[in-house]
Amino acid sequence: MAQRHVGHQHYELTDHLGNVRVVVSDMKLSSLGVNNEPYGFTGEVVSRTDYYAYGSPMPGRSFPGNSPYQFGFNGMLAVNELRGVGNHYTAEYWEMDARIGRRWNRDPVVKEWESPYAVFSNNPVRYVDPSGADAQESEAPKGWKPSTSSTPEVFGKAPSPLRQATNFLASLFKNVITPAAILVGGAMNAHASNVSLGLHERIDPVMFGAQSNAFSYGQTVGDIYSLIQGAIEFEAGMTAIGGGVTGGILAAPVSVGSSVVAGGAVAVSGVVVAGHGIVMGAVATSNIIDDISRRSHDSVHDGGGGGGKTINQLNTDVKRGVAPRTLKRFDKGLFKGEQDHVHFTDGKALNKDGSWKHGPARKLSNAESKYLGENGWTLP
Amino acid sequence: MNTEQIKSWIQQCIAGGWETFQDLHVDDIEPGFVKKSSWLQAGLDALDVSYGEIQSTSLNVLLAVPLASSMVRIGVNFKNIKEMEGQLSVTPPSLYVFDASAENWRKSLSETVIVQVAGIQSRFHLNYSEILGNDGELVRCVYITRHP
Repeated sequence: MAQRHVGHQHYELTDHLGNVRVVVSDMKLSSLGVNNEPYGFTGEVVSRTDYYAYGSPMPGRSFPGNSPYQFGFNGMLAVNELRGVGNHYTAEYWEMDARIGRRWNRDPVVKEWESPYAVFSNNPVRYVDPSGADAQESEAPKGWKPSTSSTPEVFGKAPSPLRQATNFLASLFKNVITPAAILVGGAMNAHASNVSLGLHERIDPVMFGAQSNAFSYGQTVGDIYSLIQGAIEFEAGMTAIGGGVTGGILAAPVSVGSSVVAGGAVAVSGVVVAGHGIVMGAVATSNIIDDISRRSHDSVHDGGGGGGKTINQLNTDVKRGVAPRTLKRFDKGLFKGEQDHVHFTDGKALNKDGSWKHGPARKLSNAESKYLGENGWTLP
Repeated sequence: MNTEQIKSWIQQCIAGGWETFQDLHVDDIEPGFVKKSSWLQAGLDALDVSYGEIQSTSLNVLLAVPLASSMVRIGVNFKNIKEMEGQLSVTPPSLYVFDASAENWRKSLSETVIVQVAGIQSRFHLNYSEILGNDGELVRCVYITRHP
């Protein structure tokens, strides 16, 4: 007979920095009513934590206070035996005192402008550093979206209608209006540059930081528009050339004077328009090819387009048990031609392009395929 | 030291495995080498054994010691074995069989700097490499070969 044990499986609810705020279990709790009928089902909250800026728990706003969940700020492992509950964290590259926001060891990444004992670049609201290697911009976990309607009850009472409206507008500006405006800006910049045949500067999308993709795609739209306009100009120019030449020839027997000159002028202007059109089209085509090539290159450097995790981040997943347990370790390629690869606990190793480094080949499990596929690895 | 496993691996490499970067991590040689503190010494001992095995061929063998990667250039920031151990990454050192005249290896080994590390430089030759990896991080590694 099959048995199901509940209460041992824990699920972390994290915020945008990856801080474990709430841990719930797979246990369903209920109250008993008349005739012992269960009612009022709720989930079991194992722990709840609010943090000070550098990760120590706020007294009175965290529970349980004496035996908390072991992972916390940035998802790091807390060493409660050392400095008290939640006051000290350990990760691959540091031991960190969460009360003063300083690391024990010197930062392996030397920054001339920063103390070697600083953490999170002194900005723990903006940056995360789950391994202690280097601060980086926080990324919202998969499926995480800024709340625009209501906040889960576990975090407190629902926001007021005014706050909801403000959140909605902020979200609208951030996710729709700003990218759209930047995309239009990119299109106008590219078209202006193409029309001036390069005299007007074509702005590098990198200038737009997180919105660089919107600007880059806008430039492609502008390039396509320029290509179409170039074709129209070319056709109009050729028509003018034909008209001017024909008009001049027809007028010649009757009046060798002004009509011939007018016909010639029309033909010359046609040559100019057609020439501009064809050069602009060529410039736009070249830009489109460059854009596609750059995106393809960026995609490769992001890890094959499927996911942007570095090898260090993938190893953090392995260490924390986020990756399937059959994955032992991710290694970087150390030589020209050697690919990044993943080692399995059965001794096999798979290259990032899906070929087997240490075989013989075997079929990947569903969990392995899912995790590796999501992180940009080509499956064998 | 499980010398039989090293010999078997060398034979696989000589049969063509070196071209596909068939490496041998030190933690795969002996269960006792799982501890990070044993990695470097175990790697050097394994390099000695494999050097003896490869001498009759035109190939060579090296020990690649991956160091913690970084987003910014760090350079050589260690002077002795102890300091180098403090820089080890999560990947245990591994042995590679190589042909120094092959294109990939020639390029890889030419983009390195010679390192002086107190304690082992009398027996081994060390080169430090810091190249941009596919994930945008700088891959830092020390290649160790044995003096003839």
